[in-house]
Amino acid sequence: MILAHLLLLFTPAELIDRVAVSVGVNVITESELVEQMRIRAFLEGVPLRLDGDSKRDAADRLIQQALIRREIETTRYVTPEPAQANGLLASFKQSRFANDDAAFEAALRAAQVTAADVRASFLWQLTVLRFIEYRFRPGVQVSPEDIREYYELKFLPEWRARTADLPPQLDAATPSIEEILVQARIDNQLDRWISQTRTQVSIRYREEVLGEK
Amino acid sequence: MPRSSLLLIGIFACCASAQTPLGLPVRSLRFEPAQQPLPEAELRALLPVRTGDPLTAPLVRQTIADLYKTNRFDTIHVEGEVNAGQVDVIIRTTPNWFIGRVVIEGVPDPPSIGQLNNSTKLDLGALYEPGQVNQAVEGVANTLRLNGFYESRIQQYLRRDPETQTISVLFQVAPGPRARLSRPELLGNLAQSPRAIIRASRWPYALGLFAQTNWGWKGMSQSRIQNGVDRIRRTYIKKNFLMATTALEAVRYQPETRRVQPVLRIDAGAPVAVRTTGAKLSPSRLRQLTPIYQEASVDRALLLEGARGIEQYFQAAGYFDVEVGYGIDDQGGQRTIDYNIARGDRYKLVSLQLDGYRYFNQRTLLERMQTTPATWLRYRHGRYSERMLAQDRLAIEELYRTNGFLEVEVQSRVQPAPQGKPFEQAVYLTVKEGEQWLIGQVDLEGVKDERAEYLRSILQSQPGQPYSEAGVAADRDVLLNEFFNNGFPGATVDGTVEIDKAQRRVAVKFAVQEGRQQFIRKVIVEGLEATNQELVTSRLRLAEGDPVSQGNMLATQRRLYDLGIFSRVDMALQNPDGAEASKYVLYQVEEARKYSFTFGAGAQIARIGGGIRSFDSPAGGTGFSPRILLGLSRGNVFGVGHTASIQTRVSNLQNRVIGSYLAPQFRNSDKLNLIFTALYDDSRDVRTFNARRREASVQLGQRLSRATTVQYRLTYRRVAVDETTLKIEPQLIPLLSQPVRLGIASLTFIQDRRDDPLDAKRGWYNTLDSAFSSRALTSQSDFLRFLGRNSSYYKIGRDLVFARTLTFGWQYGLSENPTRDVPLPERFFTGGANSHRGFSENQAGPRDLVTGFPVGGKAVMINGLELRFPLVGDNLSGVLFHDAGNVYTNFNKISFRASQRNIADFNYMVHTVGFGVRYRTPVGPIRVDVGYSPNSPRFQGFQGTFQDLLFQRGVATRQRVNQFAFHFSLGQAF
Repeated sequence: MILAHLLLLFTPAELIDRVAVSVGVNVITESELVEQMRIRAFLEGVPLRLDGDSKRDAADRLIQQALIRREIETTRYVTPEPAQANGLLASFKQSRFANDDAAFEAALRAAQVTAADVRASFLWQLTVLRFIEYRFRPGVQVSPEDIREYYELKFLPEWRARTADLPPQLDAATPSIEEILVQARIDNQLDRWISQTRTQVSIRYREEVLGEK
Repeated sequence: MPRSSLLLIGIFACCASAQTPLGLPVRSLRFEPAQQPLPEAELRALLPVRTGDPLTAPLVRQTIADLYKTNRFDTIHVEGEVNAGQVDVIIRTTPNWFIGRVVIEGVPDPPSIGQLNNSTKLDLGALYEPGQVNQAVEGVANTLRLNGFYESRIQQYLRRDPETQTISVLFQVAPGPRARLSRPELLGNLAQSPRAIIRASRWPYALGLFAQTNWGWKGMSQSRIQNGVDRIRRTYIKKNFLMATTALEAVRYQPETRRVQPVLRIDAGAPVAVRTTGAKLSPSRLRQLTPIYQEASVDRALLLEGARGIEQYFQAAGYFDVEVGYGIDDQGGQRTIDYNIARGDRYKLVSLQLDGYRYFNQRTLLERMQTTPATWLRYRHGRYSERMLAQDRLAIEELYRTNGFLEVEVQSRVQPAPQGKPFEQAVYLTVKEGEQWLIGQVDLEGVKDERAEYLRSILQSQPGQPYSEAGVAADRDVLLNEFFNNGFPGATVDGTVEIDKAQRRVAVKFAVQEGRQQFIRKVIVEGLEATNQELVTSRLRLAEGDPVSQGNMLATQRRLYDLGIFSRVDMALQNPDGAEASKYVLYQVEEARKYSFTFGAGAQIARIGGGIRSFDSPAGGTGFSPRILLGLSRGNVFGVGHTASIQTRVSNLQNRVIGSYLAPQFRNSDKLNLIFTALYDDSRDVRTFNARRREASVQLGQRLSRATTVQYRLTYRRVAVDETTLKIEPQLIPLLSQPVRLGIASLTFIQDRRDDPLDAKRGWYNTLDSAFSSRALTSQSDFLRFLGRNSSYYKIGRDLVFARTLTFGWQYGLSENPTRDVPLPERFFTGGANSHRGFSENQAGPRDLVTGFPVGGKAVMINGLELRFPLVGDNLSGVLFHDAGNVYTNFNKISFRASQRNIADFNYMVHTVGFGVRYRTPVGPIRVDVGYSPNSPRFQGFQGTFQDLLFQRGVATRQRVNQFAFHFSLGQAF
């Protein structure tokens, strides 16, 4: 009995959480990383994978989040109201669970995530979309020459490859082409901004959590 | 082991592993290791986990995030040990390290220590990241290579101080030999001979055979290479190859010969000729006006800028309608740029009229304008160009806007002057002020009540005051500085305004986010080798526990520099990004060289001539005096910031050695300094005699305020006059050539409120020197002396300055005994460029009645008046002056009488009027003054030798101090 108590006394302490990645003076902990992976797996309806590569992918997404969050805080972009995420959650429940609350709750339990986690995830998506719109859209310019070039070099060949119908005239196709080009350029700017921002802040991946690359 | 025990162990182990610490109440909380980078109290305050509370995953995550935000930790693991339904939380950490002192030893200059330090990219106080030291070694090696040290070896040593988490790095460098330059490889279109290019580079000591040897070339350094390339570039510009490019393509090192071969790629391009048509411009003026020469490039923007420059030049010369265009012609391998100048008529700006202004007076507005009507000398056609006038309009509008006139508008028109001659123009400016907007209310948000009142008081924006954007922006900066200086480095201030159009009132709101206040944990000064730590500590404006203040940090840095013993003082906050409540403040100093040697040579041409042993030119003949100055000083004596120095001056007028010991910041006070001086001086600055002085003095200087200083001085002096050089009546020689020992206590009061000591335009300057010499101070002479000066300066209008000065001195003999009277070298001697400009140096006052040489006096009074005015352009100005006064035999002999009664009378006021020219330089104006004295003294002189004088063989002559006096000097007369 005494021995048992002694053994209990020396029971190794259980690791609860630790630093997985640091972004400047901010951290992403191991539990945060796993939680993010669970939510993503749940939202995408794919099985959870906790191998090293998946963890690094999840870490990269969280690093992006941290960088965007930092920018939002320092430049004080207006963030969406939490209630705005409810609409997204409702349409998710509708599309995936046909508004079956019990099935939704069971799936949440199975995935070890909560409805609040999912709502927070949707809210974050809205925040990022708004940030991108405010931060990058004003700087994107699309000229009529760009639209014509896209129409001739991409739009028409793709149309002809798809259908034998007569393609729409340039004027008619202009709004959709303009939107495509704007979105592509916003994506481009976002990528450039993220890679540039990454160089301005010290980012360290902890191998004891993520494994060696 | 009994089976039951094994079973129990299995059960407990199973339970222990099955029970997760999350959700259980926290029983205890401890850090491992126990010694942590932050103080215990700060650490506990940071933790969101409290004993008794249930442990949750978000709480643990927050704990890690909060601790990590301090940037003091490299790794953080949170573990839990379950015990009897409770959990003991263990936080295991490893520390971060921060960069401390970086020392690089063993490298000869160049590169400088500063360059090497920068190349390490190890920033004081910044987080040290693994691998950084290897990058630093590579950076140092690279800098060494750029300076010719291709075979250097670098050894690095790290020293860690766990208490402050500082890592200091020592780089020991064995630089090896410095490579020498060799004949460069020249590639491309050179357009001039390689020999000319190499000569321009100045890389070889000399060309020809010498350049074939290893020793014929200079050692390599980064600056030498760069300067060489620049010089080559300039030779192309000189030869009009304005489009030439010269690039250093590579630097090849040949290890066998230890020589470096620069490889230059040159493209000379076509020669460019710049011409003007329609008007002439000298080549030097054209180079000055067209930026293609400075930029060594020809493009449209630069050509246009050149055209604008030429336009402005002609507009300033009166061609207000000038138009300048340019054309380019590429023919025969040459590019010709023609500036076509259509000057138009030449105008004169005769009038500048302002109307519509009410709030400001005309003078205030004119002070902001560059456009100037023609003046007789300075601007013969006036100062005008369209651009200048546009800038003037903006300047006036800006003045109004900063005073609340948001809708102000200034309109201008240029038209022929009414009743003027042809081509005389007038500029009219009409100010439409509009309504004045005032500040309605000022709100401060996010500030604690106890601070709000003070913060409001320091704002420029106050209710009822004029509103301006610039004022709000300035107040925002004031608030930010206030927070930065009180430990809130992360504070932000947003200024917003709300406009009430009906009331013309603006409500100003400053929203403040203070952030977290930071305090000083400790001030660490590194790099002290010979310097006493206490000296440095006494200079600190920071103390443990104080809020971190950027202002005080900078003040401390400045105070350390002010000691004059450090060549570099780097300052940083350790871990600037970390959100910790207390910070280490780091200073890394580099002690300056202890010894400094100075050498100087100069010459003086003035009325200092005349025979040393003859009686020629008692009023001074033109003479030449070369001089050599040598000095040696030892700084930071005893490590307490004191300086010992010895200075010598050798010339045919003066041989002087001064040894001094200076204790600045005496008794750790910025306001006190103490100086001990020993002097040996053998000089003939007064032409009448040679005086030999041996002097020791101690002086305590005390700065009472920014403008006021007092000096307390005790001087012991032995003065001997070389009787063989005395040019006075022989009967007086035994009396006046007696060596005299003087003990003098003196006090000097200095009050300086001039706007610019080198060239004052406003303010005043007072000095009062009083001295007491007495038997009580072991003096062989008893007298009191007062010498005071009062100068003041007044600006008249925009350009004129009226300056005046009065010097008054009086010596009062305290003894009836003539042998204890004021000795000859102690009397007042004056006259010259900085006193009375009717005389040469020290030529004023009483003279020997037989020889005519000055013998000084016991009273002096000189009044100087000056009117200073601009002459041509901005750098050349003129002065009209009137100096009046003299040195008098005694106080009761001071007289305002302007006529000399007889040739033995020197107690009258000598007047001098004159004209001077000043040329402005960064070290003060260069000065030429010519004075005319209508009543310069006549006196009895003597022609002959001393023997002639003794045996009354010489000829007495009647002489006069030259009525014209010429002075060349630096700085204003007063």
